[in-house]
This record gives sequence, structure tokens and C-alpha cells, in this order.
Amino acid sequence: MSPRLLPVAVAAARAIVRLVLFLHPRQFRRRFGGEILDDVTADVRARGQAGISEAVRAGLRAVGDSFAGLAVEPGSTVPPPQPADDTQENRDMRTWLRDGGYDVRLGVRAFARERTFTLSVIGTLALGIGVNAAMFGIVDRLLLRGPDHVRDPNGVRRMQMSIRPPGMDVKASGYFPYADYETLRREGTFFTAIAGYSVSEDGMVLGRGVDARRINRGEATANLFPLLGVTPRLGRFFSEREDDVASPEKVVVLGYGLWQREFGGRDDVIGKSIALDNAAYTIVGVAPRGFTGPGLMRVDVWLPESLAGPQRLGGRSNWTQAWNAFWLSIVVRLKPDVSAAQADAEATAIHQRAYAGKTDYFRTAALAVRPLTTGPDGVASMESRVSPWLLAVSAIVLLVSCANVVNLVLARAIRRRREIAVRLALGAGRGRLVRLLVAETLTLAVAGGAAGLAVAYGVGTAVRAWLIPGVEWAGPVDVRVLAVCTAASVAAGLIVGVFPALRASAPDVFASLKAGAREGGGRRSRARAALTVLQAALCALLLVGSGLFVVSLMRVRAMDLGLEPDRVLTFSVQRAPLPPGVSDEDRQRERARRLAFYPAMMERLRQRPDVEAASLAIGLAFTATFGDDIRVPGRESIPNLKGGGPFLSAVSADYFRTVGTRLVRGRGFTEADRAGSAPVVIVNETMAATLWPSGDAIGQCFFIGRSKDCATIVGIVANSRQFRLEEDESMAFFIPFGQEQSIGGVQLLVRPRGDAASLIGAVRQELVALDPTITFVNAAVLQDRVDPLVRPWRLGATMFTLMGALALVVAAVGLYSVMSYFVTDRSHEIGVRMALGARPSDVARLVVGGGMTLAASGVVAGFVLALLGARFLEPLLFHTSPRDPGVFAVVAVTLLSIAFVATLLPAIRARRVNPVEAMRAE
Amino acid sequence: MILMRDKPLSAVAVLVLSSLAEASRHGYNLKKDVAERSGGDVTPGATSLYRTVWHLLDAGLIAVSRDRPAPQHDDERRRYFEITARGRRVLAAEIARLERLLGAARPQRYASSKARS
Repeated sequence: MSPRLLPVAVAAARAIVRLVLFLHPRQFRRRFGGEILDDVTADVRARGQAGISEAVRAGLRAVGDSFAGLAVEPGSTVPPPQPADDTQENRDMRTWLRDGGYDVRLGVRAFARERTFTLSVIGTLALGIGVNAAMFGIVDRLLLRGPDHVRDPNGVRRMQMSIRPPGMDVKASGYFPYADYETLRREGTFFTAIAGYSVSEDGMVLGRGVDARRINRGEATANLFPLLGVTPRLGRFFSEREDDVASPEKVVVLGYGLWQREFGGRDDVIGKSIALDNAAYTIVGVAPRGFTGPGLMRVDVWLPESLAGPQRLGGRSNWTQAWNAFWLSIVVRLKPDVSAAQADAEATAIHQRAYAGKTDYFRTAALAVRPLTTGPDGVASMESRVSPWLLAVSAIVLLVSCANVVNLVLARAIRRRREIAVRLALGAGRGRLVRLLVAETLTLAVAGGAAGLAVAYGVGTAVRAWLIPGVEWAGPVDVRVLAVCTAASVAAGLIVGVFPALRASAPDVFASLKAGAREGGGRRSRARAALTVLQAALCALLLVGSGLFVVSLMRVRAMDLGLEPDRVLTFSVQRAPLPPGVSDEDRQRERARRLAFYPAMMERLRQRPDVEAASLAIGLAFTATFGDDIRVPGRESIPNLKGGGPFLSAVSADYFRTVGTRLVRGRGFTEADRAGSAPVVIVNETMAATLWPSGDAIGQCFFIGRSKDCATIVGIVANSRQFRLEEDESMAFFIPFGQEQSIGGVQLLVRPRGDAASLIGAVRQELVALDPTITFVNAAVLQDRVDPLVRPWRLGATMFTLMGALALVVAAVGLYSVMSYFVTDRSHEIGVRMALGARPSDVARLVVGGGMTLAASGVVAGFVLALLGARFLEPLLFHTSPRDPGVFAVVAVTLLSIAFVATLLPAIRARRVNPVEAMRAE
Repeated sequence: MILMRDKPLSAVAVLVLSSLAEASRHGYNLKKDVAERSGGDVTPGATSLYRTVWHLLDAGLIAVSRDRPAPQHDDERRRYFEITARGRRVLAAEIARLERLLGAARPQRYASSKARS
């Protein structure tokens, strides 16, 4: 017997028995509760001497017995003595409570007898409640709660900058130059605290060599932590002195997860050294679990901004004065008496006065304070726009579930009509009966809610991992989710219980006592029919939504981006920096060696049979884009296009074949186009049409940057996207690899012949084999860069489809049960019809027709709802009308076919009704 | 209810009464004694035992004892139960009823063969 497990078994048994005791009369609980718990403890302990399984068995027996105790005949006929000063009201209350407990006990016993009914109700409710709880957990994280460990997150505001470049719409961004932060901090009076930070996914390499891998890097000014009000888990956050712009120190605060993974959560990490981007940093602290700064993305390490800032700007010493580099997010806590408008005005004035850059539209930019949920890029993220919809959608699923359960409960109430009539006839009050019925359904709903927690756990985990990665989630079920689950259960129990209870408790006592369970009572079947129509309508609504999102997703996927991201692997390498004190000669030699590396690598790759094409590029759509000034002979200026640009890439031979961009005219680059050869250039269609509208661009030339040579255009390629799936056309041009001047960052591009994933490992090995000084190989499918852009539609499509399917199953079961009941209820009538000459097919048609009428009415109602809601959904769709007739048609056909299947079984049963038996059954 | 004329006592109730007829005991002891006395046929859990004790107390067949056992055997936190005079009468009547029932239930052939041997 493991001595550690025994207390657990004891505690568990005690806890459950204690809960069950609440179902027992209060009198009993008061007088014997303590002794029962003592005895259970003694029992489990005693049995536990024989092993843990014995202890568990004893615990289970105690729990089972505490339920069984409910069935022990209520004994005393002596009323409990009443204290003299007890008021009538108190007594009433006590009776009410005692009877309430009795109702619950009655309910539990009844449900134990009707297992199918109980399981279908609990299952349906568990789905509805669980899905809602999971969705609430997500929305809570994204929109409501704010980041963890932040004191009063609603008091923290994020700065936003709005610019209006000439000829374009206003663009908002949450990224600032450090200079803006510095100026605001010095001159601003509207805040009590201000801080800057930046988090980049995969922004840093941890470790060296084979073990090296990317981690999320956070950088922050030292005052971020006091502003947020967070306390470290261990050690401390870095100080103002360590974040000093003039002499920053290489200190780091670990994220909780990294601390657990890499250091096993040991306390002695403080003062130890950690290798980040091939440099040694000293660990000064560990952030608390789940701390993500003002954003929601996981942060593995926090560095002082004064250390990280210059690294970003290539080691420039004047980085704090650079007005043309935007990366810092700024957060503030407003002074209590300052309004948002005042803050906006003051911040804007400070920025406009201080701006010392060259771009006019940055000088005239407007600053504003926004809530934290705005997202670090300054605009509400698509996820946060989609997630309220998810909440609405899951609420609909809960409604469908409730409607279904109401249906089941109504059917059961009809079966129990006699029992209820007997109770009424014996003098039970109507209120008492309603309470009995509500107590029953509440019990069911609470059980459903408990099972729903399991559903919430599963659904929550799946949705988080698949659809919204990149956010640091706590566990999928927390206290708030639990609270919502409980509230939803109680609400569901009341909705589901009260309505049928009111109906069931007002039957015509005499009629019910006289009749068997046969007489239907048209009123009640009308109620059930209405519920079925409601379910079908909600289903239709969900399915239309799901269809629209699926069509959007398909259109997004099928879109011609001008290149084929799913067929392109990208690799980039990192090497250790040269140690200080290396002679200039060695430095030169190393540089030459590194330059020679890429052509040699290309040779190797092209020889591989599993490589279709390979090339090099500096500047690639969706990853890193560069721009440069150009001068066209005979033109005063270059027109500004809405899409930005002109964008510049330096690419080697075979580039266009590798990425799958179509060559429209002229030629691509060859091995002969290289450093030192005649300057040539390839432009995209938009650039050709914009700058040389009258004729053929090929053969024309223009100047790039500060170059004195006019580069001749040798080819025109199709446009491709630069940043987004949908963007305005932009000019772009390509120069031969080696002829570039002010840009850097080589990417190796590989187009695999077969499976892309298997090639990644092979190429990685080839790279390291060719050059052992490589410390890290960054490999990815270009599609990975595009996927986050597709995610909102994928999120919508997946969730709507999942919920729609759930609702459909629930509603189909509902329709089936209604029609089955219809057949059972009217078997007498069906018998009479058959006796009068109706053929089995007529009877089947009666049933199927009835069911299909319900379903069709529901579809029509759902479509009306969908059309009414269309304009709200429109902004979330992609090139898809929210009234897309194709989607509506498919939904109608799907729903009606499923309705047909659901009515088929009852119809077959109706055919088999034996008229003689049906009529004799009276 | 327990005293209703035509309603037999439950097995647990009978065993509790006969156990307490021998000595007053506290609940846990009582539980073990009932199990032992019935040869393991009747092993009530804590809750159902106390449900029965509750009913028996309310019906006045047993009472909470005022006498404590010798100090070295005493468990101060526990209440001891003892059988009342009324409880003894009911137990005797119940045993008599059960014996009559047993006599009536036993197949006569079996009884006579028993007598013969």
C-alpha cells in the first residue's frame, strides 16, 4: 500500500459521501453526518491496510451505500420538534426545502429506471453545455479576461498610430519607433506609467549546434513589469540600470514554460548562464506561469529593450533616434482624471512636434489610446472578430439541445400523464407538481453539465491547438469556465423543466384517469411539432453559415497568389559570429568562403532526384520584402500605387520555376546573370504597365538605388502577392543574385518533386554537412507563412461545420423521436385507417409526409433568419455573397435528406401496424 | 412505520436491535457487530446503518446511552446506543414472528425427515 495514496482515497470517499448526504433529509444529515464520515474514514483506512485497491473498493462501497441509504424507507412518523419561536414562514421554508430534497431523490430514482431517456437527455445537454463552455473559454481568453498577471487590465491602454499615406486609406498600426516611446515618456503628462515591449514568434535561437531551436522572444523596457503589476515567480525582473540605453546588460528573465522545460523548474537557475543567439545571458528571474506581457502570445525569454533594440537595427548606435524603424508596442496607464480624447490629443501633439524623420505622413500621424484587446498590430484581430460569432453559434447549439430535451421531457410527461393525474387527484398542489418536474430536469441538467465539462475539455483543447495556436492558453477548463458551465446547466434545467412542467401539471384529471396513454391531446403534439420546426430552423441557420465559410475557405485556397507557397521550401542558415580579434585577412577569407557556400549548395541540391528546382533569393513574398528607390529615364516621378512598392528581390537562376511564378514575356535569369555581369532586371506586369503604358517594357532600362548603371529589363513576370491574400496591386522587380547592394538575408528555396516534409530533413543535413560552422538551419514550407492568413476562414469553416453537424445530429434525433412518438401515439388511428383500406404505403406516406412538412417549415424559417443575418456575416466572408444560392440549395437538400432518413424508421414501423392488434389494444 | 403491525422490521433493524440487546455500542462498533452476527450476510454501509438507527431512535426502540463504558474503552467523540424496554419487546415479538414464519415456510417433508433422523 502506497502510504501516499491512502489519504487521497479517504478524502475522495469522504467528499463524495458528503455530497450525497445533501440528498438525505437535513435532520438525518445533522444528527449523523459526522459519524457517517468518521465511519467511512475508518472503513477505508482499515480496508486500506490490505492494499490500495481494497481501499478504493471500500470507498466505492461507502459511496454506493450512501446512495442506497436514500432508498431506506422513510421511517419516522413523528414530526420533528419545532422550536417555540419558530415562525410559520420559517416552517414553510423548511418544508419547502425538505420536499425539494425529496423531489430530487424521487427524480434520481425515476431516472435510474429510465436509462435510455436519461442518457439521451444528459448526452444532448452535455454536448450543448460543453461546447458553450469551451467557446466561452476561448472568447474569455481572447476578448474578456485580458492577459494574466496584469493588475486591472482594463486600466492598461495600448498606443495606436494612424497614418494616411498619399492616395491610400488610413492605416492603423500599434508599432512605434523607440524614439516615440522616449519622447512620450519624457514629455507626456497624461499617464501614470508608460512602457514599451515587443514579442516576436521564433525570434531567437536557444542553445547551440544540433540542440539549437527557435523560441519566442520578448523584449521590454524595465518599467513594463511595474506598470503591469506582475511579480516574478523567482528572482526579479530586470532593473532600469540593466535596461540603460548606454550600457545594457546581458540579463534575461525566463518564461515559466521554458524554465520548466529546460531547467526542470529548479530554483537555482538564478545567476546561471543561458545561450541565446550564440551569446551568453545571465538569468536574473523567472516570470510567473502564464505571464505573456500585455499580449497573449507565449513568451520564452524577456530581454531588456536596450539590448534588443540595437540588435534589431543592425547594431546602429543611434537606434534610439531612428524614426523609420517601427517595432515597439507602447502601453500606458492613464491618469484617472484624463479622458481618452485628452490623451489622444496630447500624444498626437508630442509625436508631431518631435518627429524628426523624413516621411511626411508619419509626421502628421495621429496617436490614440486603445484597449489592450486591440492586438499588438493596432487593429482588432480577425480571430477576435470571429470569436463572438463562435459564441453565438454555440449558443444556438445549446438552444437546439434544449429544444430536443424539452421534446424528450414532453414525451415523457405524456407517458406519465396518468401518474401525474393520480397525484393531482390525491391532492398534490399544482405548485408542488411543477416543482417536482423542475427538480427532475434540474438534476438531469446538472448531470449534463458535469458531462459537459468533459466535452468542454476535449473541444477546448482541440480548437486551441488546431485553430488558434500562438496564444498562451491556460488549461481549457478553469474556474470561469466552470462557473459558466454551472450557470448554463441551471439555465438549461429551468428552460427545459418549467415549460413542460406547466403543461403537464394542468391536464384534465378525469380524462387522463379514464384514458390510457393513448389519447394524444392535439395541443401537446403541436408544441412538439413547433419545437421540431425550431430545431430545423436553427440547424438550417448554422449550416448556411458553415456553407458560406466553407465556400470562402475554398476560394481562399484556390486563389492564384502568383506563386505556389505549398510547393516551396525555404531555408536560411545562421552561423556563429567571428570571435573578436580575428585578423582582417581571416575575416576576408571567411567572407569569401561564406559567399562560395551558396553556389556550391545549389549544385548539390540540383543533383538530388527529389528536387525539382532550387534557387536563392534575398527578399521573398510573405517572409521578407525590400523596397528601393528607382529612377526611370524620361520620367519625373514614380507613381505611388496603393499596394506599396516598388518591391525589390535579388534572385538566382531558376527562381521563377522554383516558386511557380509565370514568366509572361522575355527571359528569366540564367547562371550568366551574376555579380559583375551587365545589370539586368525583370519586372512584374503591374510595373511594366504602370511605367511603360504605351509599349513594350522589355529593352527599357531604369536606375536602382544609387547605382550609376541603367538596368535593362529582360523579362516580365506575373504579379504575385507580397504580404496578404488580398492586397492592391504593387510594382515589383527582380535583379540577379549578386547584383544587390543594400539588402541581405539569403533564403534557399527548394521545390520538391514529391513530399515536401521529408525533404526538409535531408536538405538540413546537406547544409550542415557542407558547412559545419552553421549553427542553426531555419526550415519551413512557405505555406506556413500563408496559413495564418487563411486561419480566420479556417476557424469559421471548421467551427460552423462542427457546430452545424452537431446541431444536425441532435435535431435529426429529435425529429426521429417526434415521429416515433407520433406512430406509437396514433397506432390506433393507423389501425383504423388500415382496417378501412389504407395501404401500408399510404400509412408510410402519412408519417414521412408529416416529418418532411416539419423539416421543410424549419428550413424555410431558418433561411429567413439567415437572410436577415446576412449583412452581419458579410465582412467575415471571402469573395462570397452571404446570400449565395448554391449554399442555400445544398443546405436545403442536406437537411431534407437527413429528415427523410430520420422519418424512415418510424414510417416502416407504421407500415407494420397490425390493425387488429391496434384496435384490440383499447 | 417500523411498528406497523403487518410490516416486518428490516434485517438490519433486527440485527441492530439484537446487537444492542447484548451491549450498548457506538455506530462503528455496531456496524461491525451486525456484519459479524449475520456471518457476513448483512453488511450495511455507514449511511444505511445510520438511516436505520435514525428510524429506530425516532420510533423509541433504541436510545442514546447515558452510561459510558470503562474509560480505557471509551471513544469520547462517539455516541453509544442502547436498546429501550420497548425495543426489547419489539425484538422479542419480531423474533417470534420470524420463527413462526420460518416454521410455516419450512417444507413439512424436510421437517419430518429431520425429526426422524
